[in-house]
Amino acid sequence: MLDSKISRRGFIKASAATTVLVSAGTASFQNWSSKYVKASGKTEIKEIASTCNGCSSKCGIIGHIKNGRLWKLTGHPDHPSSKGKLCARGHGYATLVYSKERLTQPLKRVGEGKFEPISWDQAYKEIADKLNTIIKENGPGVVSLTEDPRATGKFYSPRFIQALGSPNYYTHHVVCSNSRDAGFFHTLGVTATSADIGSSKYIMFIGRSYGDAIRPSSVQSLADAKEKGAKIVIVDPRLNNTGNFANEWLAIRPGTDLALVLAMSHVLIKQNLYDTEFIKNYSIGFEEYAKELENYTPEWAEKLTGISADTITRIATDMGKAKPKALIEQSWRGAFGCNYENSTETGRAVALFNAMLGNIQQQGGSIIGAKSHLGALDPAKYPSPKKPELKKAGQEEFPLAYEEQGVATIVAKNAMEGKMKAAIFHHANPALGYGNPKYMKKAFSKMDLIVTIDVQMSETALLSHYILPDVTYIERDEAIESLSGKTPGIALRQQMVEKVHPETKPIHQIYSELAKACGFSQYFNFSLDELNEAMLAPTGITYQQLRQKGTIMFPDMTVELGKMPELKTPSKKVEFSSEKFKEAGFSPIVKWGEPKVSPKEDSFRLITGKQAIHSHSQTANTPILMQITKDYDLERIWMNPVRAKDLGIKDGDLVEVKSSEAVSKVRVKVTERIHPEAIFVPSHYGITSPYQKTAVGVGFGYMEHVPFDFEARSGAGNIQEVIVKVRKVKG
Amino acid sequence: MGTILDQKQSASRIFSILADLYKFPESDIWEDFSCHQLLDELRGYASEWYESNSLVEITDLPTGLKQMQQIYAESLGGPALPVESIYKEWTTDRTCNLPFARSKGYLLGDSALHIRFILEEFEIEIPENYRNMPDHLAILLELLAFFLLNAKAELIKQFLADHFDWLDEFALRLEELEGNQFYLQVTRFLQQMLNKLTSIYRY
Repeated sequence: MLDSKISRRGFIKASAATTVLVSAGTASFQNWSSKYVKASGKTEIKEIASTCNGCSSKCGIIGHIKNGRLWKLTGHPDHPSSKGKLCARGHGYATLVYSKERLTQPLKRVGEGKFEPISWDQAYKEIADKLNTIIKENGPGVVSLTEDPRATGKFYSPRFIQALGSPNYYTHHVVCSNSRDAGFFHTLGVTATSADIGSSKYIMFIGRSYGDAIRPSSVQSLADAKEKGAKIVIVDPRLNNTGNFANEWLAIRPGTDLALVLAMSHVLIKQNLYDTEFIKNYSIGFEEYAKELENYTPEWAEKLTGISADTITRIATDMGKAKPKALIEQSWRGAFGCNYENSTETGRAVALFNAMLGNIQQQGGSIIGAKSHLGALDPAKYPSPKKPELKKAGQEEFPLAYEEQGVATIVAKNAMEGKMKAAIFHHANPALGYGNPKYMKKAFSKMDLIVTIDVQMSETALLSHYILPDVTYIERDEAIESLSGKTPGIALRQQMVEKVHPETKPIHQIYSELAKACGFSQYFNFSLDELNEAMLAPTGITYQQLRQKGTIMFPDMTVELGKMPELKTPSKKVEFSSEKFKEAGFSPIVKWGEPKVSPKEDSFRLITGKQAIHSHSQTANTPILMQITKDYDLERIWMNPVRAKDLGIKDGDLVEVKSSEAVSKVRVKVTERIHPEAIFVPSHYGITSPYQKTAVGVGFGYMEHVPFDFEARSGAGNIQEVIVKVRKVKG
Repeated sequence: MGTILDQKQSASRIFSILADLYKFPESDIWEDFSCHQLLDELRGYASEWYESNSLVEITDLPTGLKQMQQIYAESLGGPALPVESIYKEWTTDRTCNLPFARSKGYLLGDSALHIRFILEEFEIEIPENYRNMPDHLAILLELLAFFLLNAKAELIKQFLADHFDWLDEFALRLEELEGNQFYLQVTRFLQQMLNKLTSIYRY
């Protein structure tokens, strides 16, 4: 080695041969580039099968790696969500790996918005000390962990919080599908069905848009159905991008989807178009529901929904005639995932409408998916933490919410009341996306410890005491993902390139090392590979085979269509009447309920939804995706021309949007593609973290206008129970 | 300046000291910096190239290590990363169909791969922390300092041309930042030194 004459603090270290090599060498960029970069034919390109993280679909992808860098991405041909295709978000979000705006080292907050880098050892020690002190003083029920789960998190996160003695594990579903999930779970015994779109003859989407929340295979299935002559109806206050496939757009008054489904159910009974055999054999409580449905005539629904009674009757009749190859698509967030006070009931009514069509487990209908049978770690060798005896916070208040997911915003409410002292957030940004940001900030400021594990400086990270930098999905291996559906399978996320920032770590490593600092390393005494080997054991597939293929489906386990499975409801049947709802203090049968708030003549309801190039705010800081937003002014709110004219607003004008919670300024897109009573704002904008330079300041965050709230049944965020006034301003 | 060897050693020291200034400031740098030893030494060597009164001045000096670290974190630590890749087209590989392939603003671009190639060819190691950011200005300047003492003129000339043509854009990024101007002044000083060196190695 050379001595340190080069620099007293010299970084570079040369070998004994260096001086000789350098004295004779040349290494011009041009020569090198021609030889190693441009001459692609001569350079080895490795293909690594993995999964995308551009949205929650986690499509299968193939990473093509050249010179150790990502070179190309393609859709995995075998994965049921991608089927060889990849959407714009999938291509765009991958840039994250080489982004200059990532978290690169553990940080400790030293003032508002101020952080200093610390070592991992210091971070682990201080976090563990604080967690242990908080638990010693208050018990484990004041500690929580929230995430938007991916395969590794699904296994490690609940295990970690349970090792702390706390049951408080939550997911993002409180602002995604808690209402739909609760409605479906207590009706069909599953939080969601899947839709056999490709074979269906009549498809209704309520708020759900395949053309915006793109899953490539779903779009392909819809195209196939369309080509085969299927009727496609969109029910949405805005004409979304699935409109290209649709035969009909029903511009429903927002918040009244339940009335539409109840009236359509009424028609099925009145015209004797429901599946009596299915109802007789596989359901309970139908008579009671049918009696209630007598109240919900199409004429009644017309006044609420704005959709003519004739249209309601025609569509319900046509769907009844097309049964069982007719369905209302189950949706995710759409119009009843977490949107209104009546959303859980809408979820129930949709599941029951599909049941009345007898389409459950039928070709072209709603499918209760099969799951892969995966193994588990040997408990003798790898002990699991004891299941906490405490009830999960929020379970008392919202017993109908799907327990595994919980009601994540209870963390903020309890923090506000001094009942939640510590929170860990992984791959989640609740400060911006789960509830009103002002409320969340105030609630978080009352906690003794907040730890955020993320790849970028989110609004939640900014409010945290400690920030731990995660690697991106391109740089990590994960636990095996079980794919449920008509045909079950498994998929593996794999590291494609060396991690760019050496101080970042994958989540399984962070949990294992933090567990050691907390004093319960015995629950994390296995490697990720050992976990995956254990999961694979019953499948007969080797780890090597899975690593090579990335996605493996199990066609011999395909759901047998026409055969109704035993449901996981208390009665093991479709429940038109639910004792669980009765026990929770609600009507056991679905009844019409108004949304919580309604606009007047001088105001609007604020509604939100996706655009095809973003996944909520997760992708907002991706320059090439945000550039599309800027090129096409996609951050604008949508307003109907009739209302715009009344307010003296023209396309492109700057307006002020005012609610009970906030005032925002944004430009307007005047379009007939929106219901006159609604203002549509895309859900991707309004980033406030100054560290996300591409996204900050573009558009506004609709959540700023949403009052902090819980839907009574599922605890969901009621994200469209918002009234705003709009006026033109100078600018 | 004295002999050619002396000149090379002086030039090497200039870029070696400047390399130190682009690293995250730890207490050892601060010790040298706070007693003006580092800047005095820098100006001493530089004055062999320029009259003292025509040297770019570095006046906005940090007053403590914490402040220096804070200034670093608010500029070189994020908003104005001194990494060549992000100021250049990510790759010249026209077969690469990643949507950002022709964009600027991303790490581990072709320039990083080129530096990695140089490091491997010449059996030079860098700290693990810089493994995927080998085109960080601190590394580039240390390499330049090393080449000045050990490499043929052709290699130095080529290295200067290949890897220091992004500093105007970097300086602009620093200019846009509010607050302390220390790193902008250091960068202006660096540019002055590089201009001189480039003129020496022009032919």
